[in-house]
Amino acid sequence: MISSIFFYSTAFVLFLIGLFGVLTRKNIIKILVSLSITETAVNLFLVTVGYIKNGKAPILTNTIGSIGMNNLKFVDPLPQALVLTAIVIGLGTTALSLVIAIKLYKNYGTLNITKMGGKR
Amino acid sequence: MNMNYALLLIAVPLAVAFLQPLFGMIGKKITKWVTFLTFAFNFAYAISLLNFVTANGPQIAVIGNWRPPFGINLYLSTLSLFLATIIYFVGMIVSFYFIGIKDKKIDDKLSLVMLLVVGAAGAIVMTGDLFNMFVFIEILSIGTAILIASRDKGMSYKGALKYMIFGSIGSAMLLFAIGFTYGTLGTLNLAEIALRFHEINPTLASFIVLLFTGGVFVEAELFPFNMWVPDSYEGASPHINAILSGVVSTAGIYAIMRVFMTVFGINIGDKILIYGKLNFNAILIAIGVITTIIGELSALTQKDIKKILAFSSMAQMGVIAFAIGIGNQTALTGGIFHLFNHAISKALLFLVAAMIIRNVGSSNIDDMEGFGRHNKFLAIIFAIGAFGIIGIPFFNGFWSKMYIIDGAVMRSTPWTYFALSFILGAALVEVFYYFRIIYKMFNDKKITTKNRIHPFAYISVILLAIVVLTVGIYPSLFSNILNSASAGIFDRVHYITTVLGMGVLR
Repeated sequence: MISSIFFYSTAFVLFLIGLFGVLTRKNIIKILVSLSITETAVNLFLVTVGYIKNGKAPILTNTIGSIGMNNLKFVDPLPQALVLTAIVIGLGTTALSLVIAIKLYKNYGTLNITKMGGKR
Repeated sequence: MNMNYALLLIAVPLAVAFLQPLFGMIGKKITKWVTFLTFAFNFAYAISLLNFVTANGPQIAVIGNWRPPFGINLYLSTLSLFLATIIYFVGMIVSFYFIGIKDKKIDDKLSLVMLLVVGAAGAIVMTGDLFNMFVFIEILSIGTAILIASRDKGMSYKGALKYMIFGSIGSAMLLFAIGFTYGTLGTLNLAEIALRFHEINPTLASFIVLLFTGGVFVEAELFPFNMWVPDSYEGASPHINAILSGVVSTAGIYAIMRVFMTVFGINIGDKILIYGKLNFNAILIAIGVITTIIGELSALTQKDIKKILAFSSMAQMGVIAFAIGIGNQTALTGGIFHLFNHAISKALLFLVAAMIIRNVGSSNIDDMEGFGRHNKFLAIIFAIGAFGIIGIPFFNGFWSKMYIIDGAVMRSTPWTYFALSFILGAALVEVFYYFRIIYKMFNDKKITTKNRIHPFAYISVILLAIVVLTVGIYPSLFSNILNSASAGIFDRVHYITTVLGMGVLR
């Protein structure tokens, strides 16, 4: 079993990688990929917040009922619900950004943000 | 009065938004009227709720009969409903103006997105749940990006992409903050976080507050996250800018007020200080001053009227952030009042600018020289809006700025006087560039104009100008509501007990 500190640090490192990409890349597609990486980092972080070592999926079934309520360890379902919402929102954001990227390419003939000056 | 009907304020705009394609099949014109009527309904209903709440104290609407710490609730205080009223009012006026615009192929889709943005902004000011706030901020920012891009020019796509990038990074930081809060306190209900936030280790608390700034400073146009402002405002159509500065930034500032003061703050003496290792009040004051200075000085160098107004909008947000940082009730009252004045005056200025731009065919202020001689009426309306923002005595901005100055002086530390001097200095710069535009307009020069202006456009700006003048001449009109609104932020215990019941204090 990997301890949750590993996931926390991975989430942090992924976030920094994404932020680095957004700040330094010039190509719009690469910037959007970096944004997706930051979103993944946040999702990983949220899931880790609700994680309990050796925890079961938070669904009440017959087999679990026979173990007895005191021996049960459920992972927290709420962060998972949050992550589902965040994933959907991330999908929407990425789709919209890609559409804008297509439109920018049609307008300027390039995806490099430094070469888009001049023409209004 | 059953408060659960307040849910209609959120549900109606969202439901109508997704029915717009069906209305669009009948006729494009109908969609614009439907948008206007929806906002009119919301505006009227929000006013009736506002009256009820001002008389009877804050109420909560419990959703699905799950009691607040477990379920989701709406918190209907004077502040929430006052800001919601402003938001729906600006939405109503802009959609009314929008009816008069003819040459668009995408009317029904734009109406759809307008409903989403204004509906989400109204939801942000009423929600009592941190994650709900995140979801509505996301709806708001996606909708805003579509609105910016809807002008279909290279510039507007650039602005929209910039806004999307800032918004995404901001929302990632906001989610981190939510994760930390949930991980330490195990709740997402704002009232319960407010009750137990001081249990968190001060260092972690400051970290959470810093992460939270990322999410809300983008919408509120405050310093480190406001680089999208000039490009996006320049790229968008001017009447969309009225929504950007009247609706989006209002919602952003509300999030800062509610979360930083009521939820993350602690009452000390006559002021609220934000809990944590860092002195975040001082940081907020510094951010306010920096934003104001950057905004005013950048506005001074611009020639494009949309950019000038955008930078001025940013500067006003800085002034409000300064008022929040001061943290006593007078300054907060001033901040809320200034938020109202800014939303109304800036919507007015952007709509008049939109009409002038359509008439002159350029957004450069040099090309507008002599417009005031050609169309005196519009130029005078523009001057009224500009005076309101600057704060000429007997215009609305004067009274709100007086409140803020009063609050800052009451705090009376050398640091606040120092910051206040910068805010006042920046206001002088503001006088200069607004008067430059007005002077240019009334210059004697013949210009040729293109379009006739639709009467609806006139009606919408006249309505806004009437509000500006009335509040300026009769500032005590809202004093009752304003005092109750700032008290709602200030009285943290009342907020907690309204939502969770008296039992939690023990």
